[in-house]
Amino acid sequence: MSDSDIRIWIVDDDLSFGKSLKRMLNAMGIVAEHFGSARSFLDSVPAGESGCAIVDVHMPACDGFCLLDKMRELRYAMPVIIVTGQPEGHTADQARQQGALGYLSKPFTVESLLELVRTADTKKAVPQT
Amino acid sequence: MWYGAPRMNPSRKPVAGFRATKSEGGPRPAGRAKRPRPSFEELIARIATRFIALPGDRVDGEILRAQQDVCERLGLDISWLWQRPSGRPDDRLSLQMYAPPDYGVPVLEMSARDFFPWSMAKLTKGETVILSRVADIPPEGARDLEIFRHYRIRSSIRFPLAVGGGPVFGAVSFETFRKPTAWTPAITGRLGLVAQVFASALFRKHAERELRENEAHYRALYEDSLEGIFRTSPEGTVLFANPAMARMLGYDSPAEVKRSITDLANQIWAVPEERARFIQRIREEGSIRAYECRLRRKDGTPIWMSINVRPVRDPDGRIVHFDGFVEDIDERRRAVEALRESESRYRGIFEGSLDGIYRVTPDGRLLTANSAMAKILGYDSAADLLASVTDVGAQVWESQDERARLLRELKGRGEVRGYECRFRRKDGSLTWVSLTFRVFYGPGGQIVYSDGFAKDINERKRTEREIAELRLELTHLSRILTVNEISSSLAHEINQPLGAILNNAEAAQILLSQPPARQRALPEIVDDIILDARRAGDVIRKVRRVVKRGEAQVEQFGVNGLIDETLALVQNNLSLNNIAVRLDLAPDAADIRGDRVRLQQVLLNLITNALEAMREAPTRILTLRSAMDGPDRVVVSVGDSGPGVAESKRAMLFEPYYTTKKDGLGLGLAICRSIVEEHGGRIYVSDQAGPGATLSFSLKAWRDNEGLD
Repeated sequence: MSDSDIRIWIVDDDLSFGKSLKRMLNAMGIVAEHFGSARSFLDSVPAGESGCAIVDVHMPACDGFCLLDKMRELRYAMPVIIVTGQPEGHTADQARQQGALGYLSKPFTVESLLELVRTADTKKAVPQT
Repeated sequence: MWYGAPRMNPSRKPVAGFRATKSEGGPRPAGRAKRPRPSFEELIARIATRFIALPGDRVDGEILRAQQDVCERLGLDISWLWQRPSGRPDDRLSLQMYAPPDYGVPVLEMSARDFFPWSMAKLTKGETVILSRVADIPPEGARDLEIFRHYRIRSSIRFPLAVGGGPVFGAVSFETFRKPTAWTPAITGRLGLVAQVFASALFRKHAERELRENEAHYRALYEDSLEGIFRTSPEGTVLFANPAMARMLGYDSPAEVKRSITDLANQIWAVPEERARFIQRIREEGSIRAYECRLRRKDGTPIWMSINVRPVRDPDGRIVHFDGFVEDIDERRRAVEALRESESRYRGIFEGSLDGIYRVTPDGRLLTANSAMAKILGYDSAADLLASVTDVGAQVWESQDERARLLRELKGRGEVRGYECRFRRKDGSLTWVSLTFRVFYGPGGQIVYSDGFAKDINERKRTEREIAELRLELTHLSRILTVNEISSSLAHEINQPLGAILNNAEAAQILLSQPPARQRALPEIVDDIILDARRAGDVIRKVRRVVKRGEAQVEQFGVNGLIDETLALVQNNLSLNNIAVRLDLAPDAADIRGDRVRLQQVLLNLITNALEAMREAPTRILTLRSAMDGPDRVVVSVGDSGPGVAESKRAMLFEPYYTTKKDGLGLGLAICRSIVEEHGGRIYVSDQAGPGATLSFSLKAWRDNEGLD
């Protein structure tokens, strides 16, 4: 499986960051979409969709963990990577406990992100539908 | 010495002491001339008769009359009489004078000291003064002569007045001014007789007066006495009773007592038979003193009395009546009872007290101690404590010197309250007590004993220590929390744009290796990078603003208050380390402006350093001083009595990471410097007399609240 098959869903209220990440992934030939809030993501991407969600922790209304809960509730199968600009020990733990695939603190390199995404793909090659 | 002044006759009329001769004698020469002239002996006898049974208050007048008669009979001109009114030598002198009606010399007003001093000295010694010619007076009598001349007296004879060889209580004189007189033995003897008659009469007058005075004195004693005075008959009636007696027995007046009581045994004695036994004892023993018995008052209530009584007997030895006095001892008995009660109450307080109480001699012997004291000091009982401790200074006080110092310092004050110190327990461990200590001095100013009241304050001390530790920890913790909070929010705010920049840069890098057609997005990417970099810069600025606003609370306040507050924070530390504090605060110190908490940190840091420096010092004195340095600067100084700071080290003192402490980081003074400098101040080591170091900081002085919201 090549990177070009991966679909990445970015959920971050920081527009500048979301836009830059999408741009970077697109430059690498990866399909990526950016959503400014948990709500708009849930509205636009159905649960059965494949790919990987990159979710920021700090968001107004429904934050990263809230979205993680909701996705489990709504039976989203795609893996979720939690990212944060405010690295705290407990955030990583909580992310893992809530079933996130991984945890990255901003700023992160594209390589570290793709490494995580690739493990997701090897582990969960077939989305549950 | 003679006192008083001769009477003055302002009218210049003929003078005669108390009464004008005229008014008494009438037109004398005419009236007297018709009577047959009696012999001088007859005259003396007649004069003497006039004084028989004469009331005291008329004696002086009768003497004046006799003076006149004698002068007329013997052809003399003037007669003086001096007397001490009561016959007592220290009494004032009074004077009366007979002089003929046509005698035109005014009486001199003069002090008795000056009144014939030479003659008076002789008279006082009991000598008769005879001067046929006053000019013959010896030189010592110059003053007397002067007075004689004033009165135009040419001859004078003077007799002392005394009775039966007793003290001289006055004098009488006869003088002539018309012609000199040779005082023959015959005339001297006759006049001496007259003087004797006068002396007897005056003596009787004085004696009578004294008697009257004494009587009044005894009456007052009797009437006003607080003791009951009585005279009773053997038959059981009351002959006399004084007002106090009536009062004690509940009667309105002595008269009522006399009237109402006819049977002492049954009316007054609580046990009627006791009176008969009492009288029997008097018959056998005579006077009885302090016989305590119970009597009954008018209303029947009992009263304890102490009776002193003596029998008065007639010549045949029969008892006529009893004289005596009684004391109401009910009051005394009640007082004794009350004392006993209060003593037991105090004993109860003493024993029941939770505070240790003890009394100790200056050399440290325990006179008494309660069981709470024993408990505080870990002894089994007060008895155990009293038996075991022979020297409080050596066995109980943590240091004997401290006790000696306390006693010394108390001199003149006598008492100290809430003195906190450590006492040694029986097992050698130390225990904190708050001591109220009172010293009692003897008449010579020496310490007789001292009383101590010791409160066990171990619990409080522990709590205080814990609170102090907790406070330190909290301060530290809150500082860490603040730093953490700032850094984490800072991180979040900065990591966002940094992340975006990195993403964009990576995207650009990828695009640059791709065909030019795909590179159209590059300018936009670079724009975004620039925007995010700016955003990051803004974040840093914003955070700094927030941090500044949150921390610096600028207010205006006095440095003395700052010193007091800060001192309160280390009070325990001071007492724990035996550090004396010397405060030298300028009352006129101006205010400063700044962040109170941070300046307090500076002061606290300086004080902590000072305490550290004195850890090994023999004397530990912390000096805190506020002062003005010119009109515009306020200086706060912290001095210690430690080893001091070498000249060469002073410059480094405030540099980061410079330290003399084993476990110090060397940041304290550097931080102090940065805080003080942020406040526009200066921090420095200043010279001080004697050992130790003084660190000071100075800040701008503010006198009013201008420009401060």
